[in-house]
Amino acid sequence: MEQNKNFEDKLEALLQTYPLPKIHEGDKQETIDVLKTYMPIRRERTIVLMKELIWKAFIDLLWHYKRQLCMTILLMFFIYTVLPLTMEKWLFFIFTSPLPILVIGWHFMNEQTEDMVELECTYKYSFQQILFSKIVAMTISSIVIYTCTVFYMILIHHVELSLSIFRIASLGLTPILLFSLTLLFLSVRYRDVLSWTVIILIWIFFVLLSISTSVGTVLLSINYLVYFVINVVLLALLVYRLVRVWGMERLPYEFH
Amino acid sequence: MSFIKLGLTEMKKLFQQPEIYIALFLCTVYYYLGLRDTGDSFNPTSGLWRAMLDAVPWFGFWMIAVLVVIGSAKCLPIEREQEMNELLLTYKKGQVQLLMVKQAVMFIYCAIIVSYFYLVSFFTLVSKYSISGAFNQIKVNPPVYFINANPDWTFAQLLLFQFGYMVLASYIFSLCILALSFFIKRSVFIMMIAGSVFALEELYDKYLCYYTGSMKLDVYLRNIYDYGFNGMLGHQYLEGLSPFSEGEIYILFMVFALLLFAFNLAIGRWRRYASVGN
Repeated sequence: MEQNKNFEDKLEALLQTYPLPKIHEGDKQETIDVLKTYMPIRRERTIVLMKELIWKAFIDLLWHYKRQLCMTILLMFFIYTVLPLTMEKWLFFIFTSPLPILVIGWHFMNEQTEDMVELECTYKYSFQQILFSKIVAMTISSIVIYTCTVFYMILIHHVELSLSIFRIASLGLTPILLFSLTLLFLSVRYRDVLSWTVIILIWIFFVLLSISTSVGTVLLSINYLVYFVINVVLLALLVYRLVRVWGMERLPYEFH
Repeated sequence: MSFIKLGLTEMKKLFQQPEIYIALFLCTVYYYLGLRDTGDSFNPTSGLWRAMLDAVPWFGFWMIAVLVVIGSAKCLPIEREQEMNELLLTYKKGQVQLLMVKQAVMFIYCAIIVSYFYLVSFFTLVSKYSISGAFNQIKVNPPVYFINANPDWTFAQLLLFQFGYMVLASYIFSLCILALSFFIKRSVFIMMIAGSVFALEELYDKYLCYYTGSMKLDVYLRNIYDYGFNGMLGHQYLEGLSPFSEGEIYILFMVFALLLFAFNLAIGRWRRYASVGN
């Protein structure tokens, strides 16, 4: 017992002889800064983040695809102005409504190469969040362009804002929503520009089929309420899929 | 034996493309929708067979063309896109045999696609018409698109003739797309070029020709359409203006196909030597 006490005294005396290192105030601050980087980051509210991302995607879309969009819009307005108001014209009008989404979607899929996806994975936002914002921006842009064309048609043909216009508006909205949903599905499941090219090609032949056979007449004669219901279902599906994509940890099918 | 094995592998590679199934599903739906108003229901004599004969040159050939474009566009670039090109140069049988097999596989593919659409039209129209009348002479209810056909032929004979014609025409189209693949690297651009040219010509024939009818340009555009792939697949070679008889058309198409087959082999061989530096 006595021996232990002596040892402790000796040890204490020895430790007292050690010089204490002098800590500078600057070093303290540096350590605090380093530790702060490991602290959990304050997360923004989801809705605020969504708004911010969609706006960014919208600006990005207008800036990157300005030439393609301008050419597409000019072509659409040219077709509407030149062709006389016949049934074929209404069919063209409906079938050209998803043109912006088809054109931008092609570029969008074409850019999703393996290298590009890897680069996007290093961004501040997750790949799924970027995908979400791009799809939403593309759909909204297409709907805005389509609305402008509807007003243009009313203006040049002095068509009354009647039930027929509502029917045409509902009809044109269906392909936009359908293609947005398809683009989202293909972007998540099967990321290849070839699939989107196939979709475009088949859409062109569907247009031809509608003009040449009675398919077009049947499409125009269906009650607008049917299209309204289809649009609501498609919109619900699109929102559901988008919410799922936003919440995904990682995409189920990685690069080819 | 190795030739058959290689053929089976190439066939497997071709049918593993998901785009073919996307297109097949959508084209089947469209074909079904279009078939609903085909044929003359007021004259039901051999109605099923007549409607089947009329459906292909009316709009059925679009579906066949779409699937031929999709299948052929990736046939050659698939190795390049999967970075297997250099490995293929070490293949002991050589590039020429591989090209021969690929072209043979495309022939089988075209035959399968054409047969599939004939089956779709049969099963769609059989609910509307009676199955009888296959061996009636075509003069009892002449098909719209065969004004030059021998009236003593039976519907079965004409249907068989049309099937062979469609297989040969689609194979020529496919060989031309393969030839295009030697000069364009990415399959997506091959598909876009081949598909757009075909679609634009159809748009001209079905719609734009009403606006260009009074222009001199229309004569040239009409000739391009009639003697191009669209005219070939759309039975324009069998119409009144064609100087060839039915038998001569077969010989002409076979010569076309053989020439294109040989051309593709020569180009493939030359490109192989170019890639190894000889």
